[in-house]
Amino acid sequence: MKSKMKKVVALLLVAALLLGTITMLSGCSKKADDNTLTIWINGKDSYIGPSEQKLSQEDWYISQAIQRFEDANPGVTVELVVSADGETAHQTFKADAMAGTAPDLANLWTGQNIFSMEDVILDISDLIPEEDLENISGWDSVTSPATGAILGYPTSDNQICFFIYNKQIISECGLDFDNNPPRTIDEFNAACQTILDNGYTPIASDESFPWFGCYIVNYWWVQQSGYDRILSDCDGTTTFADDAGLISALEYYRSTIENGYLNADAVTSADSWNKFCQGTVAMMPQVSSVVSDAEDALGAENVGVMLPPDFDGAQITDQTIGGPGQCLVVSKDCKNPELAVKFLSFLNSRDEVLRFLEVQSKVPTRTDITAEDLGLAADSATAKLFDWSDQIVYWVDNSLYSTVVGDYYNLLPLVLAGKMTPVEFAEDLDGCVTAG
Amino acid sequence: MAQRSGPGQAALPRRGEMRRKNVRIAYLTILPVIVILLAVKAYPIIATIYRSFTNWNGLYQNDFVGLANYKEFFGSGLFMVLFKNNLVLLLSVPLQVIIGLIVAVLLYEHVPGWKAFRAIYYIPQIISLVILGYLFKSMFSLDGPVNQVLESLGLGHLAKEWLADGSTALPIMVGCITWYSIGWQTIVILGGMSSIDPCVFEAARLDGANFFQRTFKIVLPMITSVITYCIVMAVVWTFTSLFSLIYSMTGGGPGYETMTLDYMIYEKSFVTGSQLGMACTISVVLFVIIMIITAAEMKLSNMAEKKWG
Repeated sequence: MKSKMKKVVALLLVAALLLGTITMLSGCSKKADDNTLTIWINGKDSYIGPSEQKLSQEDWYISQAIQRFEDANPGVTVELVVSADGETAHQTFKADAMAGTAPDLANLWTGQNIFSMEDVILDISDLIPEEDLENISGWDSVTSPATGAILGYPTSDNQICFFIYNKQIISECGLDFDNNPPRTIDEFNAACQTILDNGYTPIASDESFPWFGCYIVNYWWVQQSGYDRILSDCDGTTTFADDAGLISALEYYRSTIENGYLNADAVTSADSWNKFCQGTVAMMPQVSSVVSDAEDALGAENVGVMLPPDFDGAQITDQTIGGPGQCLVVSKDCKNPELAVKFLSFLNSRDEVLRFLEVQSKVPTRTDITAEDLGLAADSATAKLFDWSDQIVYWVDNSLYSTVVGDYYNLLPLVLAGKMTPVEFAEDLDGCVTAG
Repeated sequence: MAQRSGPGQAALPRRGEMRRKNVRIAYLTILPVIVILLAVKAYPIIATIYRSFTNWNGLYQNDFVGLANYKEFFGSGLFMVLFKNNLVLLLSVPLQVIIGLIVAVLLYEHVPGWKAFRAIYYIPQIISLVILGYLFKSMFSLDGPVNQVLESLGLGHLAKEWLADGSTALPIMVGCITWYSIGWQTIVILGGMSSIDPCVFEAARLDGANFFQRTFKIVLPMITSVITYCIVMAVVWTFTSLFSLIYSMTGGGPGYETMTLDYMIYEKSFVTGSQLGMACTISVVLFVIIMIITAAEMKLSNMAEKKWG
């Protein structure tokens, strides 16, 4: 009896194993349907906004947009897969692409992040409607500098960098950033000193990953050196150590902490945003996607934004770092690229972008949408961001070559901490170029 | 004497045939496991060693570059920085083994409240390393409890940004790892001590051996193999499993001051532009280091066992 039982259990186990294998294999070959698109969307800070994460999936903007696309195209199915985080999505996409099972569409980061994956991302240059090329900005962020191939659609939002400030604190300090923001480094220093003298921390940032560096200091670098110089530093034609713009920007970066303008624990802190939302610091280097959170915390009337001040004699002025940081790409495994691009065009259509902006307060990449279209008050923070959308220089760190970007991120906090001089930092980057 | 089959008798297999049949069955029985092990262990190791000689970017760029990755890794000075950090963190190994041994003997001797202490000492082990990392990060932040206590004791001049400097961040990590691991060491050593005859303890006590004599002169020599196991596992764990703790506590920074070899594998793979060939190189280096240290430990342990055991 016992041995019979054992046989039955063994047979059941074998059957379960076979069933599992068959199910797995059938899952792998499921992609054969040409009218089905699979799309990976990052679970946060993407088409799925912070407020949507609390809702059920069918209530998300992206789910409803997919439904509208399916209704307009009978027989077409778009399957949404949510990736836990953007960083992992890149590796998973690569692994799947190598195995020939990549999704049709994926939400990835722009710049070098996709340029280094040109082998597995489809060049969609010939499939994009002319209307989209004309009315959407940010194509540079998805166009390979090496081949000129357009590797995707920029997502609907521009991320723009700026200083966000607490109007109440600024006003208490006798300053008026709304009407008279500091536009030169000297004016900025004077404003920070006034804020400090009034007992507030002028700027807060968590620099264990150099956010201030990427959002603002890089602007000071590119405005003095220019983009071509940065790229020539990366390819070794020129050197970082001789790049006066880089050295000057980093020296100022270091001075902010030396002068007490930046929170003293910036190298290790993790709570600067909380402090800003609690109203204990005056300014923070930030990006457009957080404005609505700040307005919720402090009240819209207490939140202001301003462009970074300019260095004297800079080549680029009155601009800031920004551009679409994310994009949607079509994989080379996609069976129906025309349909995939049609879906991307649909997502970036004027109607869809307006619907998207009802859910998330972002600055669109579509140039035919204005602040008035969204009913934004002319003096609101978001309306200002709209005005700046044509004053942006593309993300410098997204453009740095892979050989230097690791040391750039890891060693920049040492410059802030005073453990490395700007020149030593620059020489280290040159060492990376030589080794690479 | 071998049996022979005669007329009218059923032919019995000879001993040699039986043996061959048994061997065949034995091999067939372990074959599935060998295949699985080759697929999930041997193949990745061989592939990693091969990729360490390439400039693999995770996609189709996979050119053979010889020893270039090794030359770059050792030549840039990065190896020494990371290896030094690993060595500092290894200081937690003797601490956790010695403290674990002392606690185990105390529990074995049923000190008052030993049952509660046994549970309390094991609690850190069930906390996620990520949570532990954030906990220590908060404790040692500029406005954190440690600095506040120092200030309340009038030692405000000692307050500092502990995790902003490798010279203070690494010892804090050593403390954190030790605190986390004592419970595991204690349980394993207690398990080993169960093989010691209680009469030995009783006799030692009657002969007037104090606690430390009982611990280091009676227990330690009798459980050398268990201690070896504890040390080897702790060393391997310190080299390969601290990623989540470092990630949440310092992110390997500032700079590379708290970064370890296994953390750099992650950095090269997923942060700095997919230098997966280099990541494989570091993996191989780490593999070799662990093999050497483990072999040395085993050798020392055998010598100790011969001397004492």
